[in-house]
Amino acid sequence: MSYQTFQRLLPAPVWIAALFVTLLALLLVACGGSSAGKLTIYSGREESLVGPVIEQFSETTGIDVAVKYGKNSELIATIREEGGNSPADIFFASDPGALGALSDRFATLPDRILGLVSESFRSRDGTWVGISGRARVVIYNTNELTEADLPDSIFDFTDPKWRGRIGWAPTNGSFQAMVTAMRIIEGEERTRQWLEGIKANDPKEYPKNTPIVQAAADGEIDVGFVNHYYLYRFLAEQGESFSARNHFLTAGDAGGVVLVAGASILDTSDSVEEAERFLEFMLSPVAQQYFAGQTFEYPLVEGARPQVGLIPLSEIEIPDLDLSQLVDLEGTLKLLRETGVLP
Amino acid sequence: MAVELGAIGAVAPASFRERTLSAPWPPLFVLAPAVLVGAAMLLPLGYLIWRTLGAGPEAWDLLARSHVFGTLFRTTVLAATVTGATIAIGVPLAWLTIRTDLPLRRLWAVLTVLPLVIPSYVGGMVVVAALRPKGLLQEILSGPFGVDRLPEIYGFPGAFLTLALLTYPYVLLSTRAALWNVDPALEEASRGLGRGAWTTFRRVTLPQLRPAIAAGALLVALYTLSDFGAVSLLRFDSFTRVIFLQYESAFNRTLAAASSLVLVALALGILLVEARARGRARYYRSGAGAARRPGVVRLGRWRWPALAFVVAVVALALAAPISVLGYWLVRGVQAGEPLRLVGEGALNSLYVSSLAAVATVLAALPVAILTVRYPSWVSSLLERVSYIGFALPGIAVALALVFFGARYATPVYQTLGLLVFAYVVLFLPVAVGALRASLQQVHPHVEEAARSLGRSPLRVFLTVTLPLMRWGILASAAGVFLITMKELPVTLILSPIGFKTLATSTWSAASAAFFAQAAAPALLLMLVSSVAVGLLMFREPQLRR
Amino acid sequence: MSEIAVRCLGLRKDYGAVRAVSGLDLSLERGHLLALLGPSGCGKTTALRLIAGFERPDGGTIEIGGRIVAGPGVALPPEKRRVGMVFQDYALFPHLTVAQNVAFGLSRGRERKARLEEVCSLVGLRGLESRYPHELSGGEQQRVALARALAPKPEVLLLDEPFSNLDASLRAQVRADVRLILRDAGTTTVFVTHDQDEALFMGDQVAVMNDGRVEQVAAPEELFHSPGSRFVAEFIGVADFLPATAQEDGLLTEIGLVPSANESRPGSRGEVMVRPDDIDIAPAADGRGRIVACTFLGTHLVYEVALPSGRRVRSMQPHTAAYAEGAAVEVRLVLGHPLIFFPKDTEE
Repeated sequence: MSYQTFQRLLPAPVWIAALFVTLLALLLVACGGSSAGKLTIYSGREESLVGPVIEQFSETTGIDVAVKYGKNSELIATIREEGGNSPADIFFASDPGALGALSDRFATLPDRILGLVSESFRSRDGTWVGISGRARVVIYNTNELTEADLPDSIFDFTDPKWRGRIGWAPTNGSFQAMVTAMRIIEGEERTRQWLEGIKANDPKEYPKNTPIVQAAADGEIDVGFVNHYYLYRFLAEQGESFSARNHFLTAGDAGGVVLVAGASILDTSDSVEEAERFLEFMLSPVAQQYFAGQTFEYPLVEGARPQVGLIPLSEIEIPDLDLSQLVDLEGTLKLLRETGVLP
Repeated sequence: MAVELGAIGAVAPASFRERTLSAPWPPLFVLAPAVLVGAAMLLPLGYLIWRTLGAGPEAWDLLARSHVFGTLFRTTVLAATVTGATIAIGVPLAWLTIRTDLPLRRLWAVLTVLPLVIPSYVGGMVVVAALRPKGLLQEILSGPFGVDRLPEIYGFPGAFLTLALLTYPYVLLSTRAALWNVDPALEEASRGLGRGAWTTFRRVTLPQLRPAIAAGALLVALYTLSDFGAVSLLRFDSFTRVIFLQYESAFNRTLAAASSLVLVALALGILLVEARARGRARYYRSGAGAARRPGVVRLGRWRWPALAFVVAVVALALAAPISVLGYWLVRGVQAGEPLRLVGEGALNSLYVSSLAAVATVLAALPVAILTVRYPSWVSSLLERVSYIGFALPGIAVALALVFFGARYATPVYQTLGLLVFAYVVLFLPVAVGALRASLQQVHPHVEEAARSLGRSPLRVFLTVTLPLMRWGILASAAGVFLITMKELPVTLILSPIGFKTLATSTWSAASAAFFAQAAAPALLLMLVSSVAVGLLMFREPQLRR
Repeated sequence: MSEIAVRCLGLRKDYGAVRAVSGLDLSLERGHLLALLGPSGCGKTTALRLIAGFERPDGGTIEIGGRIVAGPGVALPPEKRRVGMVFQDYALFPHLTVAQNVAFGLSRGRERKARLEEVCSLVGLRGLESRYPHELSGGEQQRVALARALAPKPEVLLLDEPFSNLDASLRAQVRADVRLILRDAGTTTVFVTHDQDEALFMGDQVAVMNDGRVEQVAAPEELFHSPGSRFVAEFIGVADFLPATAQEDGLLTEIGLVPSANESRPGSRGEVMVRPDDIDIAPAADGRGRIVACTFLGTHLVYEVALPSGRRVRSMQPHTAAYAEGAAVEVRLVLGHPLIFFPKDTEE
């Protein structure tokens, strides 16, 4: 287009004015569009796992919900950074370690909510409540390995024969909770040795659990440290031919710890009522059945049943551990950095 | 009709440079916003420094224990090798698509630029999807050839491959522009003095291209330094990935801030080295372009090998990614992947990118005017400050603003306002560059003529300067729009709660290895950005004739 | 009766350490055309830009139409000075038509259209009003620039090398046209050029500038025949200089005694300016001059002759006079008029 055609089509003042009007309009919309929902949730659990059930909550109750997804540690740091200004009402974490690390910022939950789950799946001081249970397992490639090839203890994976065959996700909250549990059960030094041992085996690093499971099935890795339920989603989608399976560690060490995803209400929340309704909903039969049926986790409320085919919680060798003890996530992160597992 | 503009610019010899040296003090409507923009530019970096220094010795202690030198080394090696590779790809491509009788030359001229629309995380995802163990390629090869193990793609090889194939267009474009401007008389003189085609290229043409190649290479190096998507997906621990991991997995954010500062220092170091190496070279490039088109070089028997090279680059950098994405799109649609989210992401992307484009151009205008028309220590300082975004990796800006916003700017925290602000900081150099170029084409005499005809500076700006700059404004807006669309780390970290763009949807699906889910937003993203690239290429004279 | 339209007093402008204009004094009567002539870098364009208001002087005052527009504490912006400017590159607005360009400086109102037509007729642009600048020839563009500057009836019109972008063949014609237009319009004009022919042709007055100051302001003829300084003498026309000693009855030079145009103390030594048409040569076997070179200029020839002292002078000869290089000639002065003497001690 030449100048004169352009000029005739759009004289200078017209398009200058258009530019400014557009900008103003955009800015107005920007300010209007950014208003947060009534209930703000910071979720350390993935959207693909909890998004549908949160949406269901919103539809059922008519409460607007805004969810910020991220890593547990990232969200904790964000809430700390935000201080009293934090817009978060609910912190929905993938593991008790993350909840314990922020417990000084939570309101105490009413007994009617706490009472919904058994004592071992909630915090002793009443600051958080478990929503769903998950076991730590080892995922393995069924073409390369059989159950018999796999050790009982997570400590056996420091053996050089696993060199280049392991996958893990050091930034993953559940993994970090497992390390916290290991520090409590086995002590700082043994945990450090384990981390260094695995590190020496040149593990492949993944951002989260799902790709580890996929990689194990693809043969990219032979084994990976994950939560139990990711496998079942793949099995549901791809059928029995999916060439990876879970291996439950039976030595009773931190490698087989059963953790809970849980939630809490921030002490700075100004929507406490809605927040409590959210927790009640998550512990309602509907939501619990969702976790059991859709994400293949262990429901924590009486009456909801885990998915058929899932090993019942009672049959897992659970190490003796009070989940309320998992408070020192910061120490775990420090250890992970010191051993070079995290940068 | 850039030719007329060019002709007007061409009349201005060095003398107007000298004359504007003592230009009068700029009018307030230019100075005040320009200074404001400059101050805003300094905010993120300033806050990072303040935060790091505020932590005292702890910051250095944390840094030292975080293996920072290893990261520094890896990042530098990646930047250097990628830059070298892009020169090796981009310079021959530029020459082949501009100066030779390559078959279908114009088609290749367009296609070779197009990888520019592929965001690095899409490139990374494609490489992962295609080349990982049990990926597409192995699937294809395992049947007939029985290949059951491909070379390791994660880490350096994948990051290098992805970034080199995605960024060579920067070298290509700048070299092409320079090639276009080379005075054919110089080459003819060399041929007349008995030098062959190759010697002429090496001793006459290439030295003239050097500043342009360096400029393109600089862009590539900075892109590589600040790239987050590809290195994250390919698990190469360069600075951006390390910083993001530190941000995600440390309660104490001082470490992430300190690491960001080291990365900024690295980028500034590269800029400094480049500026020093360039020296005075930048002044000898003729600005307005030669009046005559240089002659076409006949490739002779090299025609087909040359074509094979071009085809190979286009196949790897463009056709392969599109096919892989297409494959996953089809698989996704067959698997009933919901496309609903894509629409929402697309709208958000369009919306926030337009916002960023308008805001950035508005912020860049006063800076461009001040630096072009009113050279002084103030404006040269401002010019440098405005280029900060060039050296600031997105992740550093995002972190600085998250920290700052959460503590001190709660009203804009987690709003689009802060996100757009980050885009402005990052992309101001792009806009200022394009605006400066178009303003330099408007000879100051034209404005002076308007002044002497009785119009105030503001009216002259509105009725003369602005209309004459419109293509530059459009180009800079399109440029900002394009890169905002593709931008990942800032969008990821600063987006308001629940605000999903094509970039963040692609990213979250790709990082969970849900390639089928990532394909649709990725393809859409590339489609929209190609419109912006088309606009930019429309301005490239050699492609419009 | 004559009114001063432009007056500069002690005008000074520095660019860093470089003094572009140093102590420039000028005054121009209303309706007159002043040519600012000088070699490139002499500060003439800077002087023009100071008057227009595009640059701020570091010292001195500028007065336009009896109003101080620049001086201590005063700095009127260009748009308030009522000056019209024609740039070397014309600086036409490429996004506006001829009519829009010309009407740019006119305020909205009923007279706008009338004035537009008037000016367009004056410079001969009728019929081109809806064209865009790039659709015009160089000469036409030049006229648009002139019309645009003239339209608001400026107090003074400033022209910066307005003909230098035109082809040589076109230049003479355009120059004559412009001169006529300016005369007709009665516009006070300051006009910058490095071309002496142009200055002598256009200017009522010519100010020769050197090193940031005015060496001499005079009518063209006076400038040519009585240059005020050796610089002016050298810059205007072709001149050679012969060593001379002042005597009661004239100036004693190598080629004889010549009448002096200016007073000088007897006995003082200096140089006398001779132009090629002042020197005649004739073949003579015992001649003191020797032909060194010959330049063919079409209608005539210019011979360069070496004198016994080694000095060289040029002599204009009809094209019929043919001398071989190396030939000995007698050198004589054609005494049509007294010659200008520049005493040594006043120089540098």
